[in-house]
Amino acid sequence: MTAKRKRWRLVVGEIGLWILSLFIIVPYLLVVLTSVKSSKEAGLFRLSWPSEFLAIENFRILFERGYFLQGFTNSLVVTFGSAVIILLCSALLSFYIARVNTWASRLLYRLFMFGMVAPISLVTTFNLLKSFHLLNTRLGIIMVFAGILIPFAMFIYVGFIRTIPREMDEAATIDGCGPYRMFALIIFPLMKPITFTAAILVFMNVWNDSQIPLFFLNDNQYWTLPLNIYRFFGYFRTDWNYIFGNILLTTLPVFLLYLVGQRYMIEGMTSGAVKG
Amino acid sequence: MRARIVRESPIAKDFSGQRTRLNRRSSIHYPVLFVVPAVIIYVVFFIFPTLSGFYYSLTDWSAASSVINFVGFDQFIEVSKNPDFGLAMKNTFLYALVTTIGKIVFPLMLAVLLTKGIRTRNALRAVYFSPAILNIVAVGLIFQGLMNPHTGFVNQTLRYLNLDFLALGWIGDPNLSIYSAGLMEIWRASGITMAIFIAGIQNISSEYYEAADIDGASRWMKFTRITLPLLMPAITINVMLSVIYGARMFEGVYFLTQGGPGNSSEVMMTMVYKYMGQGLYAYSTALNLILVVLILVVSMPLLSYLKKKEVEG
Repeated sequence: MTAKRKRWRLVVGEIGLWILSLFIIVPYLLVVLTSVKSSKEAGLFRLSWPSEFLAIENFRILFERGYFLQGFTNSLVVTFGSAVIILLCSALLSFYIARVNTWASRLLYRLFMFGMVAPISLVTTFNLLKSFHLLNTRLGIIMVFAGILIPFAMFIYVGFIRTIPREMDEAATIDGCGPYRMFALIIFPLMKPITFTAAILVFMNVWNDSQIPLFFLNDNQYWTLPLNIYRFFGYFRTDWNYIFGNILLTTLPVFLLYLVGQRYMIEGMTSGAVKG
Repeated sequence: MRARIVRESPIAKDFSGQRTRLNRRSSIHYPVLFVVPAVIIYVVFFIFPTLSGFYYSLTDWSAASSVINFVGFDQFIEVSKNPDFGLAMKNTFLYALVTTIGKIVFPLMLAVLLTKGIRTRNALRAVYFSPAILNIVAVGLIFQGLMNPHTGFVNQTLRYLNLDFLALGWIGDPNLSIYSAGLMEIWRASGITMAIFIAGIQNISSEYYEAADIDGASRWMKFTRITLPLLMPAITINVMLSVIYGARMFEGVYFLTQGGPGNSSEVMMTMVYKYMGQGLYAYSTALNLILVVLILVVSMPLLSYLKKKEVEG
């Protein structure tokens, strides 16, 4: 009797949650449907089947004027560059912080924690990049991303390294490994799972970021994909079929990755909070 | 044989443990070089700009002149006279507050429901998390399409359902624009806090609930007396992240309303960006610095307060 009532209650809850999820699903449907409509019909923002199916025409405009290849290349270069720098630097840093227990090491930890809280200082960073001749370069924003995200990567690395027994270090040292070889051959390979998680964290933050490129890249030929949508919006302010089409094409690769590796993506994006 | 016996006796274990601890200090060397690359990048590209902000906010640095003079606290006095500053402060506070409440209450309910043995829970979790993987420019433009007061999807649907009184001005109404931006952030990021809550709930041992069942506790009692207290660490981290993230938000406002209509939804970071664009460098830096200090001042007591709650729970 109570078990039956409980199951019934679960079914009601399930239906309720699916109805509630329409708040998320309907906007997606709107984007997909609008992207194949005519400009006039798209501007009405109706959740209706397109009266004319203009997929080929619309997507031709998108590929001709959307700068997808340029945006994709920029996103790839910036994301990959930032990931390599951030993961390598914070893995080394975190190994030291997790193993050495001196006041200097603890101070270092606090100093990096500050970076997880404080917002970026806009004008002075702009000026700094300018004096290094890094303004309007992809390397410039890679370095800014590194400065912002090394603290986050460190935060999840330190928690993980503390679970690797020190006996590993001792065994390596007794076998004649110097500290650098110990790190490269023993410790870093053990950090593979957390490096993967940190890589997802960096990827999602850099790939989807739109403010750092907006602040420090005046030249739109280096803009990454999110800002590319914004540039496109500037050209076609009222043609929502093209704008939503651009959004669809830009977000589709990330969406497909999400369908394949949902578990890892959620883990990567919440790791700072869960592991801390 | 003998060696094994020695190793197994607790005294020997203790002894060897101490010996390794001694060895550790003397033999393993962790070179400071390990921290050098990270420290250089972090100090040059993050700490230095932040600290030099303290100096530049005390100058008259601007695009109009190549000479930089020390002017003391003039910029801060100017800031305090600017009516837009009060508005931006109010909006930043409102935005952080609204998004934090929304990103805690609603996802907490979702997380509780989605750990109850619903058959399609994995699909539901995937759907609710999915907005978090979209970039904010895309989300901002989608919401411009949804929340446009005249042609937007939301108002059209409401009018179609004869709920005209609910068809508000959203991003077109100066009184509502900042809340509309907050709503968008709740829509976008609730999945992240939900996932953190789900992880927290799954860590709670089922024995507590079994014991409560034996004592005849109601579902509400189980939620308030078991789930909530044991979830306090997750709530702490979610509140912290939401407050900090909300206070320094730029993209979530800029790509939806650009601070408009007028300057009704201007927040601190959009103002910093606006004045930088106008070439008022020192002025912009002063605003930026106020935000840095504000976030530090707000987040520190909040953290220790919530930490205390953790212990009590």
